[in-house]
Amino acid sequence: MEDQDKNKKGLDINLSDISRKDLKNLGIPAGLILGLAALSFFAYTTLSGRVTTLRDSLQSSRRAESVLQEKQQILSEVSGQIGAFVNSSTVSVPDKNASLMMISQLKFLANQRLVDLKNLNIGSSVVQNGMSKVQLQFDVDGDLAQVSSFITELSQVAPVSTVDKITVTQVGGVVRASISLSVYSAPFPTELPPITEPINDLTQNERDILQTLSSLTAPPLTQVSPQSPSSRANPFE
Amino acid sequence: MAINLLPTDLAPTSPVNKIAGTLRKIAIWGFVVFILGLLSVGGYMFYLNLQIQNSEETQQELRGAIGSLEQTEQRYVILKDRLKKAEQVLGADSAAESVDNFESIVASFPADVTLTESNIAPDITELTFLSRSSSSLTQVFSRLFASENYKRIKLSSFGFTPTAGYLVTLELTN
Repeated sequence: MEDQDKNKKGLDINLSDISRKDLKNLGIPAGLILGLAALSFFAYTTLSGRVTTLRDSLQSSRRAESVLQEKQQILSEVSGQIGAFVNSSTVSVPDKNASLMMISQLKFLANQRLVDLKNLNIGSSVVQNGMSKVQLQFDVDGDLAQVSSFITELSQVAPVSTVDKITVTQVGGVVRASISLSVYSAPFPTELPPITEPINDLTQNERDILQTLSSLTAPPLTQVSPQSPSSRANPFE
Repeated sequence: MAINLLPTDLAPTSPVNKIAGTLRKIAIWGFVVFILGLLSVGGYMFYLNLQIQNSEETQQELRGAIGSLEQTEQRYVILKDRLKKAEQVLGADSAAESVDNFESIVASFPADVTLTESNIAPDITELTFLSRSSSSLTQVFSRLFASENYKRIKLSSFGFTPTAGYLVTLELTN
């Protein structure tokens, strides 16, 4: 009976038996644990926000780096050929004087195809879809094959043009084609996009167009071949 | 009165002290975990900052490289612009595309058929010709119908004079 009482006393905590010292022994670690929990919560809320901000910054930085890298790569790749590309494209769609360039082409073609070029008229410039359009009207006389060949060749020369209308009449064996032709020009862009703006590589469609433009015959006016040096006569001999 | 001569550290621990001991261990381990966690997070933040710094240095280098390619970039912008403009023009319909078909028709005219006038527009060709005989006229029609160059052939006008022959106007739609 006494043993049972003793055992009971070992398991039960009698509040009246808890001393101040016991309370102190209990309170300090409990307080530390509570303090640690509060500190952990505070650290979590503060640091998780900062970590998220840093991760977002890193992601954004890497995106910007990727854009710049791609831009640098594309520009490096085209730098060798860009001169020739720009020449073909700016001759095909000049910033101005497309009508003058086309007139030189018409005269050149007329000589080549053995047709007579007559009654050339230059219309006024009209702005359409961001481009200036000038209509040229002229007559070509020759036989049917020559005139047809001349008209077909118009799509093979720069600047690019559209044949709006052709009126063909025939008197004797001579065919006269009265042609209405539109040529186009547009001012060059004056501003570069920001350095951080992504740049797109040439699409397949753009490459096809570029190939077409490169195959066009440039006007004789714009082709100036350098003269080879010639020997100079000695005036004192 | 009994005197407890046993050393106090051998004395049986009270339940309160047992709990206090457990709490103490929890506090110590908790503190260790907290410090380790703090160090890990700190290390991770240091790593992220380093990555950001590296990325910014790379961006600076790339900006410098792109700056040296400024002329290429200007030309590239012009090229893209010209290609866009050229696409508009090349995509537009042109009457020149109908000239080959027109030429093949007229070139196949019998000797007594002459072209009077023809108006060629991008989508439609109006052809007026004079045929001195009905057989030649039939020949022209046969060739036209046999060719697959036109979607629609419309007889706009048909006249006959005994002196001149048959004056026919056709509208040929591409």
